[in-house]
Amino acid sequence: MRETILKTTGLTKRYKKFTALDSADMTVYSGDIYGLIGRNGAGKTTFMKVITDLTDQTSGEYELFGKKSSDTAGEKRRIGCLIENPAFFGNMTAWQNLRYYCYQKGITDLKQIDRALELVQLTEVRNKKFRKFSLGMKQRLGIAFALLDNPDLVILDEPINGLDPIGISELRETFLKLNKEQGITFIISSHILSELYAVANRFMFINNGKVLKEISKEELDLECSRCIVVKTSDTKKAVTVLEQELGVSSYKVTSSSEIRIYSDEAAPDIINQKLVGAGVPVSGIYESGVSLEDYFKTLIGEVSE
Amino acid sequence: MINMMRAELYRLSKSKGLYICLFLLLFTYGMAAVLKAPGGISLSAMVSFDKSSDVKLDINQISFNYTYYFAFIGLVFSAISVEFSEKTVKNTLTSVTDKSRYFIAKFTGTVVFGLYVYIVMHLLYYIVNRIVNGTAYSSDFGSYAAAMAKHLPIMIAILSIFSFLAFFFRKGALFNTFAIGGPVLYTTVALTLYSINATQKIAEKLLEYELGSMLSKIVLDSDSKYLISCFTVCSAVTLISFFLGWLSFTRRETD
Repeated sequence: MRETILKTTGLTKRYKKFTALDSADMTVYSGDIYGLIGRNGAGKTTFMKVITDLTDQTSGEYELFGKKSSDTAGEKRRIGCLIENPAFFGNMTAWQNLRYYCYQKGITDLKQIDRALELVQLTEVRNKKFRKFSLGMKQRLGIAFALLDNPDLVILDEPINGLDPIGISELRETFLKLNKEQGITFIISSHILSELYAVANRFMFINNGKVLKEISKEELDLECSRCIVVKTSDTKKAVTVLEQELGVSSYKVTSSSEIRIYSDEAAPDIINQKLVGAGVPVSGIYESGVSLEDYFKTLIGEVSE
Repeated sequence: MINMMRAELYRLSKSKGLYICLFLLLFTYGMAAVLKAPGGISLSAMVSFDKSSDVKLDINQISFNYTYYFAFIGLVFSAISVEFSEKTVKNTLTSVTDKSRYFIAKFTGTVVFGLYVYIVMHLLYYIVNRIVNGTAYSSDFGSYAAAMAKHLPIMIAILSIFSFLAFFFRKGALFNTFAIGGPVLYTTVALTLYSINATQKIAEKLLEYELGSMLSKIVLDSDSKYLISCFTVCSAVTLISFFLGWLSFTRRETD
């Protein structure tokens, strides 16, 4: 069983009457690339601020590396963070800024600075002052800071903001490589679904401070892939008919009244005919299949209603 | 905490503001040595310099230590306010340490570095004055060191108040406004109270412990009772500033 890196229980953050985070429950396991998906203002940054101790939760608990939220100070060096916009000292160069944090963290191997800068392709501008950096370069330095000192957990808030398409692709490869080769766990937030989908293996959908769904990539693929949805009050009997009379093997009973069929072995009209013929009450049958975007929209819609 | 302080020293060494402050201090004290006359900033209480008195130039110069008040504004701004204006404070809080340790490291680091600057500058001035002006204008080192040491609690109190203000206001402009305007406000209040019969005694006390008065009287007068009361006031100010600063930083949200 994989080690639990982060576990939150009923994590809530209120600013006066506004609830920015509402009873968030989630678990991140070692080796995960955990994607936090939500619209602007959904509560992603608040969530990250709470678990990184930048703000206190109003109620609820979280455990980081198995330690309660009140006792995580000793674990900070295991975490690399980029929350909101990258912030560094404008009068210092990229290298000097990272050197400053090496002092703070007690890192004596200064090769780590060069290694971090290399990972984000900033080696050539290591001696350029931060204030002269472009938005994309600032973002890269923020990521380099998060990757300094080989952390066990890297938390990145909208890391691809300001990056060009090639930069995004390079960073994606870097994250995947670090995850695979060094086992670094990532929590990455974004409102760009396709980008998160390309790197993450687990997802949390969040809207208006509420966690809508926590789902693995496989489950997400399954929910988004093309299928035939059968609505019936007798799923047990329907499954028997599908297997025995139609030879359908790729399906999933998604609720007490819904079956999703993922194979092309039978057309909807044939399925309907067979089910009705066998006395299965069918209240609906239709083809489904959504893009990630539509899937997210549906999730938000479901909650809003 | 040592790591945090080392980091701070590294960063301050890259700050132009700090070098400007140090240059101005050196310039002021250099002028005093070359012109054989004490001088510096004295906002609220003019220091009288009697050339015929027994007090030598170097100790008279110490009574102008008000200059450090302004030098320390630059130091605290560079060490603390910049962390809030550049929003770099979040880097340390998310990946290095918690709020309490951060506060203690910054507060202590600022006081230690401020005192280091204070002592080095005074020693430098003593040596230069001794070489340039000779013993006619220079006290024996023991008397000079004692006069310098008497100001240490005041310097600690100033650095503590500034650290508190920087953590409380967070915004550099607000910190500067209150730090620079503080002595003027204090003296204005004291003088206003002085003009009212009922509050005259309170005003007298306030003026007695006004920064400029303390800095000169503590060195030029040998009243031990006043000395002890000054140290008590400074200790109280230091402790209260530490506590309020800690409370203000740890209990409030970090943007």
